[in-house]
Amino acid sequence: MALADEVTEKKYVKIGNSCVTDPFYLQWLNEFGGRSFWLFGVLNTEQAKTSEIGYYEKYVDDLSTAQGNDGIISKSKELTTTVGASIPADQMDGLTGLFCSPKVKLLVEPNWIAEGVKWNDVRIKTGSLIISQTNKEFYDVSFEVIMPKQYVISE
Amino acid sequence: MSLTIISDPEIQYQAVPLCESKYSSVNRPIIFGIERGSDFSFSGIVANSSTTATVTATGFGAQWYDTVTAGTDFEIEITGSDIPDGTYTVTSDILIGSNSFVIDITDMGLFPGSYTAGDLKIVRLNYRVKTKITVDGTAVGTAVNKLDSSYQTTADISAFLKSSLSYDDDFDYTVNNIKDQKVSNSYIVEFSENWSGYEGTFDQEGTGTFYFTNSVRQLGAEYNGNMADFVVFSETTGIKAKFLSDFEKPSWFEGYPFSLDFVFGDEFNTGTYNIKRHDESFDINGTSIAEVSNSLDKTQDDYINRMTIYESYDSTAQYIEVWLERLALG
Repeated sequence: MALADEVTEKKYVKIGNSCVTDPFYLQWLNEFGGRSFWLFGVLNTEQAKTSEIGYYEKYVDDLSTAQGNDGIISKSKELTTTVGASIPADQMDGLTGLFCSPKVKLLVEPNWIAEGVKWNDVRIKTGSLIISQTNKEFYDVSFEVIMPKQYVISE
Repeated sequence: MSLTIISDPEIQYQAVPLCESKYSSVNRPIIFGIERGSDFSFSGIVANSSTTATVTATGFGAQWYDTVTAGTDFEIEITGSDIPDGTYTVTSDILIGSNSFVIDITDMGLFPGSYTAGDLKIVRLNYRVKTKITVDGTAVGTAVNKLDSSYQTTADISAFLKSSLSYDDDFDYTVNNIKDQKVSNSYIVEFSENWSGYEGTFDQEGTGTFYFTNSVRQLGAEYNGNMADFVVFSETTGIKAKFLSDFEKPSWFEGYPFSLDFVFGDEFNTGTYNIKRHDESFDINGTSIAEVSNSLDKTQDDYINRMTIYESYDSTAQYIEVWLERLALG
């Protein structure tokens, strides 16, 4: 084929290592309007953080029969997962896009080829990124991912 | 209408053959420059005395008799003549057959006699330009702008376009390519003149269809907010479009969904060319193993395209190179 017929750059695509324990596959909208992807591994299982919503005091008119004198409207529950990967130094440029993107998704259907691909929106916890350079060619990266909000019962 | 579009987001990417990019990043200002031109050109002006002058404007009455209040004083702004630029009061009735009218030139210091022609604008109370934005056939909003002293204004429409974006990923990763109208779309703009008591009709004023992408450009970007260097044209010579990846070298993880996205430009000549994706795999020594090509669906043009790669590479492959080529029909 003639060089004159090439209409795009030749994009170098590495074939990455898919053998990851507890895979955690993320997609994000990058700054150019395209999608970027990376396969991480889970380092710590989910950690739940809860908080109260709407504490109030009840009026008690009979102390002998009342079951309580205060309550909360609901609670919120936030799950986070710590993930990480060893990133080749020449690919750290793209990974910074993950931490700058407000639109990140997690692949939640492992059997996506048969069942269809399914994504959930997640958030990268600000300030959780840790990068250490173990050798000249790789960076160890870890960070926390805030999972979709958990629904709870409420008054 | 007397509006002229003096600037728009399109840029000329290549002069010969002409390639123009109409693709803008929606996270940067997307600006149309608008100028109000003359409402009428008059052919002559004669000062009758030191207080009145007759302006000859053939056809003025037929066009304006029912849009200005006949018999009531109204003002016009005259420029480009050798009478002083400024605002003048019209003191004669404007009838349907009027080809001239009288203005008050008291205190202008003009001597009786003839003066050169020029342009005139009718002074409109609370004059404003409205810019209606329509994305893929759906109106998304209207910008309202007042003119500056040079009768110009700019309309930044980027905020209106954002409302039509979303980030749901509906791509099933089973086809070679598909357009993604969640992160890119087309729009048109229409303009109208308006003033107190009058709402004009919208007109595209000669502008065409433009496009926007959910992207952002950085300080120093060569084409400002335009995505020209990412748009795939069929006629560029020596210039190759970039893929929409923030990795210099992205990774594909076997068994996981992956796409390499690009802007399938509206100027790609699908009547003359097909478009094909080429995948060439290489082993650890950089030796080519195999090259395959697949035709892309060229009916998905005009928008950002999600594109899968071949994926059935030899087990010894360490990396691949992916690119797009045009292929002449027949």
